Amino acid sequence: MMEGMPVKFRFLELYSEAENGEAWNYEIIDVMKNEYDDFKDDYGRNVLNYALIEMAASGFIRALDMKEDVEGIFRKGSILTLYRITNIGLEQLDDLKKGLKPR
Amino acid sequence: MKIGITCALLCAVVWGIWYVPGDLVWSLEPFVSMMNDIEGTHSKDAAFIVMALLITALNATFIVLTLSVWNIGVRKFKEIKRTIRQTKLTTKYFFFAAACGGPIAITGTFLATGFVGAGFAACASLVYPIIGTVLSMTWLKQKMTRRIFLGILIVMLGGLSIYAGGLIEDITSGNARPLGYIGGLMAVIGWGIEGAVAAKGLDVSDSDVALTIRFIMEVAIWWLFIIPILILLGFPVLKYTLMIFDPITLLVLTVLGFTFGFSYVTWYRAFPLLGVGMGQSLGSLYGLFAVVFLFLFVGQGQSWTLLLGAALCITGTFVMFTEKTSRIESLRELDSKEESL
Repeated sequence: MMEGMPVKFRFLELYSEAENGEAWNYEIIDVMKNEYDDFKDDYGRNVLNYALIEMAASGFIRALDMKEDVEGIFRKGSILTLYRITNIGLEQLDDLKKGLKPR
Repeated sequence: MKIGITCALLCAVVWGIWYVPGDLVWSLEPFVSMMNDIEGTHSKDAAFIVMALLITALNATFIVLTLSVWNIGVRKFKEIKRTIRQTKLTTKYFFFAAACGGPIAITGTFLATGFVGAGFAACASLVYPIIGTVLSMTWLKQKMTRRIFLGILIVMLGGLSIYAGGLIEDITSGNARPLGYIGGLMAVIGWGIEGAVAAKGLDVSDSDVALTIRFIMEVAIWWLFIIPILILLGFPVLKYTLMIFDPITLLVLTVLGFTFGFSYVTWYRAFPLLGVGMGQSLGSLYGLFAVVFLFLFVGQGQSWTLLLGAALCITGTFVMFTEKTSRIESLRELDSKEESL
């Protein structure tokens, strides 16, 4: 439903569909990079990661676990974060679905 | 949180710099000729208001030009297209933010400056984080720790102290008129509401995208509604707008757009990370930087109240900066089971 919509809309949907509402940032960003051709490169990846940080600050997702990226899965030396969608995030997603203008 | 504070402080510095071209533009052609022209046919007050409206409209226009270049650099045009279509979920908030921040708040500031004084206008503008804080806590359900609230209060006291001398002089001079006080109130309410309304849209939007849409809306409000109304009322606004292509005027307007645009970029980036109250409060440190830059570049003198105000602003910022990150990792209260790392 949220494919091709603003990135935070789609992030919320992907987290709501993830197992237990949980996913690592690099996993979910990989999905996004395949769907949004303007975020395919390293710069786009960082923009998407920043959006996740803002969403965590908004209380839509919360950090469950963190580890250093020693293997270079995302960006070598960066912090990998496991997020889970919160009840506030699920409520926000419901509100978005009600007011969404389809493509 | 540290990124958010850095953004808010950058906003304050660049907003402070904006006052230098913001001060210069009033003495440039064709604005001076327009003011004399309208003063001759109408009144001094009318001339002042029309000039303020035209400068604010041009300011918004040059900000959109700046943001267009910025968005080429940060590659957000596709996201703008995706976001602007969602009128119910995002664009309506940015339209409302534009109406509050532009025509209401900035016009209010100019009215306060013209009919009471610059000191009063600055003090009035510095109070707006109160409205932003209250709305963010009640409407957006953003939480506020005691330490952050204390920091906000100290920064605001510092801002008021910076302009205290001007405020007392303005009020006791006997020249103040009610329209100026209404203008002050418009600035407080306008900017306070803008922050909260924009933050609602920012929850689900990218900050660069949100800001660009907000200023496109403001430009539309100016050039599709307010400026045509001025033309219909018989003011020679169009004639003088077509005369802005003098290199010096264009340069000053470009710097005006660049500084205000960049201060807004950082302001809007701070909101999703810090919340409206803290973002606005740190942004209001522009009062301190404005007097510093005006002293450095224009030579406007300052008083001891500036030093007191500066000390209070720095203390307040320090109080906020030293809050434990874990306490404000999320701007909203999560369920107890959902507490973050």
